[in-house]
Amino acid sequence: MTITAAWNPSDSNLLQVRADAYSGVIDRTYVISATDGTNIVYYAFNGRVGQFHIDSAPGAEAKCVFTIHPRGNQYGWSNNA
Amino acid sequence: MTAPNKVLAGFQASLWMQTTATPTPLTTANLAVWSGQVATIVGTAANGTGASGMLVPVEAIPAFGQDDASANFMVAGSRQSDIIPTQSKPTSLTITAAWNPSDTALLQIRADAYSGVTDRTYVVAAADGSNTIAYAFNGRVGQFHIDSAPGAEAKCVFTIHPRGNQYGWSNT
Repeated sequence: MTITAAWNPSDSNLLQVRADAYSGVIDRTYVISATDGTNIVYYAFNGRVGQFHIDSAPGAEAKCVFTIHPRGNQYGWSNNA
Repeated sequence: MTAPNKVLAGFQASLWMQTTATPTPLTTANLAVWSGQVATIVGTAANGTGASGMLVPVEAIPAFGQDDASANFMVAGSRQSDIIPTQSKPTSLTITAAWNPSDTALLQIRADAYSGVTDRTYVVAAADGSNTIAYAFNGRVGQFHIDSAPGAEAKCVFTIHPRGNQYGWSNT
């Protein structure tokens, strides 16, 4: 997954993603949660981060872009029902 | 001071480079050290000290950071393959600047491109006014050329190829 975020250089989550990309060998569990307000379905996977870069083109806010490469077979679906 | 704690606008980034014709680039460890290292290249306009650096008058800073590199493993009979990041190099920066033939920084970059083997430390500094975050890397310059098409000011375009692994992040 190639992900774009607004770049706040002090955001602890983005700093952790940057550190993971600098290392390249850190496995971490990520979860995507989809909710309708009452119920939630989750997609969880383990992955490593690569290609962390900053797009600071003028005319817009600076963006931080990175790619999470999930590890093979390591994902699952769940929900809160 | 701490790192900026806000979403930065794109134009808050600036590019700095070491002075002198034969600089000593920072070590990989020091590329991530602000005080006394990266700060000496970044000018006071971006909260550095600037004793050994100068501003490169670029039109815009291109995307900077890592390239992607990954290895894809497949095993016969396995349900899925596996993609994992591999060692990736810092991304190359192709930069456009308005061409002033007397600008010291552009002349140095032209000389570096003419040589092709000059390692120099460059710093992209993003400052919100009071605080700065810096991306520092060592690189060599190539593909220095001038675009003098009529209808616009002449432009000087060059590409900085960072050396592998030689980059770091730091902040005030």
